[in-house]
Amino acid sequence: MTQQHPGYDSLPDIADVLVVGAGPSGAAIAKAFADARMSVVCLEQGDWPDYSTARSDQPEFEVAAGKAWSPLPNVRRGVGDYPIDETEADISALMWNGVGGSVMLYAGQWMRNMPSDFRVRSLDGVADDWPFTYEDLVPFYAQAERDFAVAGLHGDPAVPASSTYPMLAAPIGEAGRRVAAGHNRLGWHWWPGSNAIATRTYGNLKPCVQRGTCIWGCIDGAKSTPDITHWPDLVASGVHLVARAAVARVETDARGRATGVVFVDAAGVERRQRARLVVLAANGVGTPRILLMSATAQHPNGLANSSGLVGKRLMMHPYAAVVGTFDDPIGTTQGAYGQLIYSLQFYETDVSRGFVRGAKWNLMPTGGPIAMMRPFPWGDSSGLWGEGFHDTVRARLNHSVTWGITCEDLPEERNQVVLSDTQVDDYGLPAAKIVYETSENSRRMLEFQAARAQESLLAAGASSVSVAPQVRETGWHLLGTTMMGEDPATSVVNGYGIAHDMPNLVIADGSTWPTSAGMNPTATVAAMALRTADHLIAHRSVQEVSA
Amino acid sequence: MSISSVWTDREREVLGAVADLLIPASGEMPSATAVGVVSEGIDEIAAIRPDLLDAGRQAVELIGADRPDSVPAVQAVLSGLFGPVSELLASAYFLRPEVARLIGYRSRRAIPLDDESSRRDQLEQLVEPVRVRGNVWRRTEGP
Repeated sequence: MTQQHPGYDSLPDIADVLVVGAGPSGAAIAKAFADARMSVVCLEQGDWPDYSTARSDQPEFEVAAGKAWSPLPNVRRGVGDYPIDETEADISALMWNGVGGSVMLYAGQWMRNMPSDFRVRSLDGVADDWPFTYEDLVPFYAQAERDFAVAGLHGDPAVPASSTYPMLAAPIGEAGRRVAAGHNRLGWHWWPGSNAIATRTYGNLKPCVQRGTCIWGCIDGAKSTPDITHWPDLVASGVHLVARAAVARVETDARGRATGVVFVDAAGVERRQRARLVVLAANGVGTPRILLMSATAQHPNGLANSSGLVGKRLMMHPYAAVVGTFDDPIGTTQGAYGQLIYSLQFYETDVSRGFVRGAKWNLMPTGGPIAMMRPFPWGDSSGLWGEGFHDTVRARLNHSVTWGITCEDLPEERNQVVLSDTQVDDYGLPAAKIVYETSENSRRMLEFQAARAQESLLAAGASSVSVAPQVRETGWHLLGTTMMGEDPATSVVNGYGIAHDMPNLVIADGSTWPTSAGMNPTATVAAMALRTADHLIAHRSVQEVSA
Repeated sequence: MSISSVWTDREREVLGAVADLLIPASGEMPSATAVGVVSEGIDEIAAIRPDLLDAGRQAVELIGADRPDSVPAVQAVLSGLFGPVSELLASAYFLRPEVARLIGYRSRRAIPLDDESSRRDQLEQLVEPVRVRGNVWRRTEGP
């Protein structure tokens, strides 16, 4: 561990702001409030990351990563992990419960949403428009890109112009060059990867050394995660960050204002933290879980749930992967893992394809020898073992590259987070249960995108291509379960994440997204948290709080 | 329990037979047991991944006295355990130093980034055709 836990007696009796969750949105909003000289307490159910378990520079790295750095809380079973019942879900919810949040597991891919992502109803006649526009977020994207240390190349004509990356993109490697050349021949879009990975010394971050282990713990201190970029400085400036503090419920007064939360500390002792403003930043599963666990006689369906939508409209971005194998080495046992290059060629809607919306592609190295054996992304392994083993390893290792494809997931109320009625966590609190079925629109999109990605890799010179099987462990992005909107009858929070039912309860994570876009969400989650903080700070003199 | 006593002799024997079916010798590449996968390698893995230790032991129980003699037979008898058992044995194989030398991969090493100025020049040259093709995103009107 890198930090000591504060004593509980040092916490303010009533904080100006109480943040639940120390991931990117919690960190971003805590920083904004702290910069405005407001007292901030953050409760995080997990612990500080222990990079000594990552072994990223050791020979056993790949096999060790399968447990300690698994994205599945049910496998990892670390401090702060609550069980998730997935018996009725196509896709597993992936997350990291600890200081830094689930970006501890991200590859660092940093993409703004597109303007069309905010206008889905108006443009494509499906789902809902967002209550604000891309343009509203632009200044906050810029700030987030500085705060989260994004490296990229300016001038991509496939996205609105900006010039706010503080660092130059990492090298795209031989694999990136080949696929880029293939796209240039096809006339398809590509661009050097934009990643929240430092390419030079930047704040608390060190330059990337291309070890290619980003999602299993960056021991080199180059990947931008809040345990490095935000929390050490915030704690030093007086923000109270309490790890191993599992929130059981939000409490309210007789007028229906939030008064604070009840949490269970590292010793299993139930404690109470009061606050004028309560911010939930516990991800698209954790946030609705807390709201549903907070049900009382006054709020029998959970807090902020007069619309009945808390937990509903879960979106997880169905994911496809297509791998290409080349006859000669292309340097893909490691590299700048975030994304070497990306493509938005098939991002926008073209109804002639048989579906609406689209997907973003990211090119990634395939890794070391153990990764050449696994069912994902290689599919059926029946011919791998035995006589063909060594030839297969030789053909794949350092000769293959993968397009990862993030498909926009449209919201459906049947896809949801509920409380489990059969499982509890270590504190006796109800586990989460997710119910999720991949939609027909998503299935058509996956099929189309995978077919085009095969064409891409063949154009790049791949001697063979294959589509990875659909696997459960792809729910990286947990969105939509406390939808934002203008109408309290059809949404949980307003465009600033403020609960319609409770003016001092704010949701700052991706739960609030009306639609999922097809991008990696951290850039927009962080920008929205900054925009919410900006609004709340500007209106603090009229903020309604518990008496 | 010390690492050296994690596996019984019978478990090593059965897993060794399975390992050589999955990873036989071929050309310059040695078989699994020839490089110590079951005499040492699976001990290293068990220390790192207790779940794979459990899978290996369950596999030995499932196999019993009726040893499979082909890869399909192993897959049939192990069924859902085949994934973790093959990961146990392949991981142990790739961690052997002589195998790492033969395949040219031992661990992830630090590769410092190249010079920023030359990288920028290279990237700008590569993206020039993309810039020329121009906008592919849908413009929207404001709120």
